Amino acid sequence: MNAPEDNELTSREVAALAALSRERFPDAALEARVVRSLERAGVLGRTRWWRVRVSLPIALAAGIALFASGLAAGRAIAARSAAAGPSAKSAAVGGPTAVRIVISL
Amino acid sequence: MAQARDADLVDRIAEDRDRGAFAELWQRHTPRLYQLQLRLTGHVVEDAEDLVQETWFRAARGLSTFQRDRGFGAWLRGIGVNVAREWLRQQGGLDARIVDTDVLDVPAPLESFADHLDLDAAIARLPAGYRAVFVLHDIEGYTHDEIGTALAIAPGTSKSQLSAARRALRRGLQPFHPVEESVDERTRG
Repeated sequence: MNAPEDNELTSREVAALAALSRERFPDAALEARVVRSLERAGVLGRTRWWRVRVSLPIALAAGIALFASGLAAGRAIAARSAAAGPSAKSAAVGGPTAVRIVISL
Repeated sequence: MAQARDADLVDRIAEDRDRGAFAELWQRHTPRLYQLQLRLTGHVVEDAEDLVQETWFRAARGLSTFQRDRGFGAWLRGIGVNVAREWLRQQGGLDARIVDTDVLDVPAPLESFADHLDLDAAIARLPAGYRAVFVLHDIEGYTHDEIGTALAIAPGTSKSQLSAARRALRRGLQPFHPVEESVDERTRG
């Protein structure tokens, strides 16, 4: 039997070992398996899905509310413009008349 | 955008149970861990995957013991070697280190193991105890003292197993002691 020190690697062997790959990606299913086990153990949170479930309706509701308020504001402005239209027109056209009335009073 | 440091990702997992941080660490460090476990198990994919899962499970539960000045990858692989050692013992694989005279008595080197067309396949055929020491020393760069600590064997045993493993690889792994073969088969089963 040879002593270990008589059994050193040759330079070709060192090179062959150095050429071996150091990394390999496992199947993607393994990550999901590990994540599930860590969720069950309480190490990783399930909060992401919970947040998505809760925040999606809130975001939708906020979007609808924003749209509705914009619509209402637009209509209010339009209605105000319509209501103010004739007086504004008369103010522009009959302004001097109004001034004359005030003066005559 | 700058890449988050491992230690910061560890903090996010520990404090917020952050899955995104875990996914990032997984991407960074699992390929090397998986390759190591594949080699230690003799390329038995199911066993290697089980060892990776158990390694991450223990690591994630023990994040408080991670020292920020130590690399996360090295820390993770250290846990991985512990997990593999327990697995090898359960399989009876580490007991296979005990002298295989057929291998040890063959004069070396008859050929260079660099001549193997598929060196990984040749390493996978080594008896589990030889394979573990060979992988840790000649591929992962462990010292015999570190191997002794990691596998709970004497450094002298590590040296003799490494020597036998190299000779076995140079001989093309033929013939193995029947007991060694049966232990190796159990390890793979």
